[in-house]
Amino acid sequence: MTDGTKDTPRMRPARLTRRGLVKGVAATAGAAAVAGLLPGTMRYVQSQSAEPIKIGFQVHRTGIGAVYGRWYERVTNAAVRLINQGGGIAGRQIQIIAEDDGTDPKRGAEVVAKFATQHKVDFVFGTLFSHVVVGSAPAAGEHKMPYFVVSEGYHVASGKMNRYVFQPGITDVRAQVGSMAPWVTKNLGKKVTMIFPDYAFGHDHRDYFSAALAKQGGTISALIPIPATETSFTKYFARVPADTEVLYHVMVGPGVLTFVKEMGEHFGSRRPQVFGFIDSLEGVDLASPGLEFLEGSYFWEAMPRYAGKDQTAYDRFYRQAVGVNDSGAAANDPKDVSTYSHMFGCWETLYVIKAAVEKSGYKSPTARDKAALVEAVEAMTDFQESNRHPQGSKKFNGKLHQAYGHQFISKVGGKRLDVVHRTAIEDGLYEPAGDYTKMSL
Amino acid sequence: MRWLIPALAVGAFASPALAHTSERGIVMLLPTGYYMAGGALAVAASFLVLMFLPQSLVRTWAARRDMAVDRVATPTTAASAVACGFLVFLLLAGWIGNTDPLRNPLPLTVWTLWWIGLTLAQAVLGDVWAVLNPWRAPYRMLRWLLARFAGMTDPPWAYPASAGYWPAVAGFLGFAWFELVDLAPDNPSRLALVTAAYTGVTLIAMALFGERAWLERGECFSVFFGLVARLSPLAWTAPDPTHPGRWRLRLDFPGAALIRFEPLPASGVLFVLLTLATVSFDGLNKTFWWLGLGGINPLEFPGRSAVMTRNSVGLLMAWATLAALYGLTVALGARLARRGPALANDLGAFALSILPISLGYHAAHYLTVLLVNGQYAVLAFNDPLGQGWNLFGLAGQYPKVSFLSDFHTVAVIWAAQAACIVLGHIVAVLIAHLITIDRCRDARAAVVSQLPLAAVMVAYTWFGLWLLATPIAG
Repeated sequence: MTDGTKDTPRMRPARLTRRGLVKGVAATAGAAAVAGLLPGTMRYVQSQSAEPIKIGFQVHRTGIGAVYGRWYERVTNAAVRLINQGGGIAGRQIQIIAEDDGTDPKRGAEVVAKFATQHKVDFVFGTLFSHVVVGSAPAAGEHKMPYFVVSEGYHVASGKMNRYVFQPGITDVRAQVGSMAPWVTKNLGKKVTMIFPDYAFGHDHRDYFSAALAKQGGTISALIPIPATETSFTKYFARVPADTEVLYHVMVGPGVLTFVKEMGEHFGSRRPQVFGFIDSLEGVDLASPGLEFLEGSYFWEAMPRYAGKDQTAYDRFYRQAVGVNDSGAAANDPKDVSTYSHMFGCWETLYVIKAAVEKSGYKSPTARDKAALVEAVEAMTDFQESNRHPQGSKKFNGKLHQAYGHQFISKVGGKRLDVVHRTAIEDGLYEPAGDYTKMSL
Repeated sequence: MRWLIPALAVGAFASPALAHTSERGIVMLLPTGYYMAGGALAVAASFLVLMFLPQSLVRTWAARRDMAVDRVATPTTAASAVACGFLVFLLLAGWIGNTDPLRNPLPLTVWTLWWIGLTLAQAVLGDVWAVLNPWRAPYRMLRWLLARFAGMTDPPWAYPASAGYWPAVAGFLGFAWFELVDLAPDNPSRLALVTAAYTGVTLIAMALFGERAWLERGECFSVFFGLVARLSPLAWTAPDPTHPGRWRLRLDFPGAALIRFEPLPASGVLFVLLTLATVSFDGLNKTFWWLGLGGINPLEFPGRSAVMTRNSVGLLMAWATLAALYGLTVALGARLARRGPALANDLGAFALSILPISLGYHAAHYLTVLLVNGQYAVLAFNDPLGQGWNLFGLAGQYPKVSFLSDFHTVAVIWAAQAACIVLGHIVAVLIAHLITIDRCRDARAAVVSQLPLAAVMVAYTWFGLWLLATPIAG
């Protein structure tokens, strides 16, 4: 079963026509509603007779996730605008209710509870940082609230969340990392040294990539953990063995620019192949000072930041709707680089919610309707690449509540990234660890 | 303690921890070490220059210049009534408006326009708050009602002299805690509740002790803004009885108005130190250094809920440390100058010289927040009650924030922040000098007595610049 959508790039003029039609038939009051002069509830009266579908948007507005939250908001608004212009979900307009979780797990749980009891939303979506997902998920289970996270963490697929938690819009990090190994060993080298921050995030990369590398016949030359508070990195590069063919790095935080600069100073032109995760430089201009050394190196991307020769019509459509230019930056502020490898998940998740509501016949936040919705999502198996899924086709594992998609490997050149490889979905699949469908609703 | 369980469970799922590289990442590439040394040297040099300048010359500088510009006195009740109406509107927005704190005008007005912006405006324009205070008009109305219907023409109690600035200290401490430690100070409905509660307490206290007494001593923001206004070069003096309704504008050396201030009582000294401790700790608590002390990984900062106790204690410790440092420094200065008996008086006088430092920190620390959230504030007023209005045609707009990720603008912003810190300290050194020569007739003793405080100010300059340069979480 698919998500039931088959929109093609040709959809664009159709959408514009439809919007034109809405404007055309609007009466005097309707025109005011379109212009946004009437109160929110009045607009629904004008355009739709049904009550809106209320979606709680758990957003990192403050705290360390704020940069991501800013872009998650833009993508969410763009997707909601499109869906509403196209008739909404099952004929009902989407109403987004945003609450800031402060990028904090305790506040996250409070926000989910508030969505359920105070705002009485139909669903909650949008959480990114893993610790907030993990902190909020129990509240979602307690309130039987369908909770769609956009985190890329391995938490959902680990089987340790609950029946109401889904991640249908973005591949988890375990699959992302694992899918890199075949191409890296075939094209860059089999002897890999990994430099990673010495805590769970880095350890996940270490463990998932080491295992995937071994399957491809590669070997780890050295594992070099770096303390999280470190700000000077030269001494760690000295520990990279001479026989290293590939240097795999996943540094994050404010020290990244210094890390890359010192890596360049250490290795100069005599360096191994360098492969990294764009998480290090998400939202950062590749033309930033200190990043010159990255020229010729490779990065994982979930969705190509720069529009290249293989750009799909779906990507073009998505970029334009969100307001992102061909360099992955804000169209209205070209040096404001987006979080392009993560934020598409908000867009795709909203379309999954739409498909699930329409398929399940969901009407209101009753236990019965929510159960039907959960089962409808669990029954999904494929999402076809489309305007609704511009990042690419995905397989959805209903037992794990997790989507798996293609990943990209891009090469830095001329201070931009160009895709050199697109992985197969199967490259990242792993043995499933749980089955949410066996849990009670 | 239930929340601890998910917090502990995080370790198993910590990926992705997307701590991003931000403007601080660019700052880490700047030669900030030179700035720190240069800033500290500039403050030290300004101290030395002052020591060698004739006192008469310094006094002449500090003298007030009469600009002979008159303005019509603002009708404070009417202005306050307008401000009060605005406050009520903001509270309404907090309760019924957009739940997103960056789309609701209440948190953006309170934290950005008022707390950051008005503080800076006070330092430039003088006591604007005295006019915009939203509590005067409702209080005066309450007073009128009490007189008319209950025959109560005067407040029932006189403000006790022994209370000093203690209510303001308590109020500011609560405010600082809410800002730095509370889980969701930006949440619109929560902030509306706190603002309404504070308004209630203020009106009751004004009714009990009188408008002037409470606003001058008890209400922490009026006390703070009043002190900051004394740093302004513009001094608006009260109307001449012969020309009622006209105020006179005079030009002051920035901060010179502070030396015409009576020495503060102990509570006032602690109040001033608390303002500096608050803004200093706001910077410190996000540094890798501070987080590392508690074994917290700054790259996966667990969120405020995990550091509430630490930060509560930290705020108090920062205050206590500053108080101890200040007390010892002034005592040492008095001892070196053999002015032992005047110590309490010295403590009260020199505390005023801390104010420009506090303001310099405020400007530097909040500059980027002002630049980003100031834009959000404008956008929020486009649809203040979250009703889908488009009052200024700004619907669908997003703020421009790329200046925080561009090397050149980050360098300029950092230099401006560093300048605020250094300038604040130089003014502080100057004010401390003016206070000294006012109080100490013996020239040699005057120089010697200033040495410890000047040394601390030099060190604090370095600390302030370090706070701007060191890696932080988020």
